[in-house]
Amino acid sequence: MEVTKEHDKSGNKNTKTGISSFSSKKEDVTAQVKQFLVKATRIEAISDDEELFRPGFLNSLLATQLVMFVEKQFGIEVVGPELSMDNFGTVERIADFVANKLETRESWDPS
Amino acid sequence: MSTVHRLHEQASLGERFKSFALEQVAPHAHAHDSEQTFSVSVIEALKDQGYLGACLPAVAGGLGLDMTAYGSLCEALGHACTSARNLLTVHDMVVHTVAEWGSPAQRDAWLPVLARGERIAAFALTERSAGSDARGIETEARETGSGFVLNGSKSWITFGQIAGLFLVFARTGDAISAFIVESERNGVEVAPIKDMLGARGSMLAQLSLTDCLVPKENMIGRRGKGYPHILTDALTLGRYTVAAGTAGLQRACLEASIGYVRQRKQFGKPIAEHQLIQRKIAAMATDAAAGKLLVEEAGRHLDAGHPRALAQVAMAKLFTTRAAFRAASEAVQIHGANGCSADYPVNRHLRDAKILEIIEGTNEIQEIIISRYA
Repeated sequence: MEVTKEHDKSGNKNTKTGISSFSSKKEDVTAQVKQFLVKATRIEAISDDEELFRPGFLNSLLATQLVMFVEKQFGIEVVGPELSMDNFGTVERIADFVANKLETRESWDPS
Repeated sequence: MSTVHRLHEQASLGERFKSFALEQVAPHAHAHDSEQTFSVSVIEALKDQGYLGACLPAVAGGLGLDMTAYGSLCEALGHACTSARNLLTVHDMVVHTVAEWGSPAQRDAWLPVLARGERIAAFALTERSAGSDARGIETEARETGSGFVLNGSKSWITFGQIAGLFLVFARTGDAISAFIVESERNGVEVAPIKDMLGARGSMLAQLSLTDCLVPKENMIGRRGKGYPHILTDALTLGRYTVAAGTAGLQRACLEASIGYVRQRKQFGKPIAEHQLIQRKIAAMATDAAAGKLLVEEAGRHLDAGHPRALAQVAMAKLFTTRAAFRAASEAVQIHGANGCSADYPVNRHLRDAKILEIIEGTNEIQEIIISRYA
């Protein structure tokens, strides 16, 4: 029996994005990550450059959920050394990181 | 589908689950507890109804229930027999993990088998020195040319005595990974655990793995994804099933108490007419209603993929298990000496209720989770 649930190439929980350019990718990631964080924290608004790991904001549970969300939502793999403040410290850095990953993947696999 | 239609469909499913649990499961609950075993006929009945693949989509051989409807199934089973609900919990934690984290080949290989109940699955996380803190896992998976060699020991494995497949969490270097281990593999040993306080039909076992070789294809998700990713995901589902089942246990305590106070007479009238008894019934009824609402809210969060589902599930588990213990204790109190005998189900309910405050993360762990989302 063929079980049809889609799976991405990295072996993560899945979905796909169909974003065409780097800037639109970044925009899309920014919007989705913000929406996730607003829902998760019940904070009304989060700016792009706000430090997410300042005291009293994201704790380890939420951080894990954020990484899982990013992997699932954008079909990417976050490997050990990539779990850093450089990549996850602000919404802007997350958007850069994810958009770069998506770009790199497309340049290697245009299909 | 309109909201009215959906609610009508959920109510209809709920009635179907209640009838099934009442007719096919409840008659075995006392024997499950007293004989410390689990009826084959109940497993067959669960298989026949497709309940061992309740959450899987039809294409994978499942019923495709959403979390709200699945909660109703767990509630009905938990009302009838905590061990029956435990069976569904551990089996579905593995089914869910394979469905969500497995490769297409793993899903094709295992999901139909699990949905049909050809193998019962068990969740092998806990060790003597590692439970809620999974970072303490000592079971090791050493990579070799042909796969991984597992060594270690897992404790309190629910339905480990009859499981045909285990989801084992093991250390791969600095990280934790998850593996499917079939029970017939060389190096797998299962030792029954008896005389637990409650949930005595849950066929607990100690699982020992000695140089147990599994192929690379048995690793679920990527290397190192076992903790926290896969584990958090699976435990959230497990906690939801426990919360829903415990709401059923709350209802069972309430119903048993109402039935008893109406027929038991003291001082020339049914004890239902005594105000101190009425107060106990009122508290149990209010808690039961609140527990049900919290479970439904958690189900809606899970169905929506809401980021706060984890906390909502923890709240439902914390509240229902605390309230069920209170309700079971009051139910025994209302029954007096009768409640202390094995002739009345409230005796079993009280012992089961204590277990529920501990399994799938103690209530103290639920409080930590809730506080982090507060």
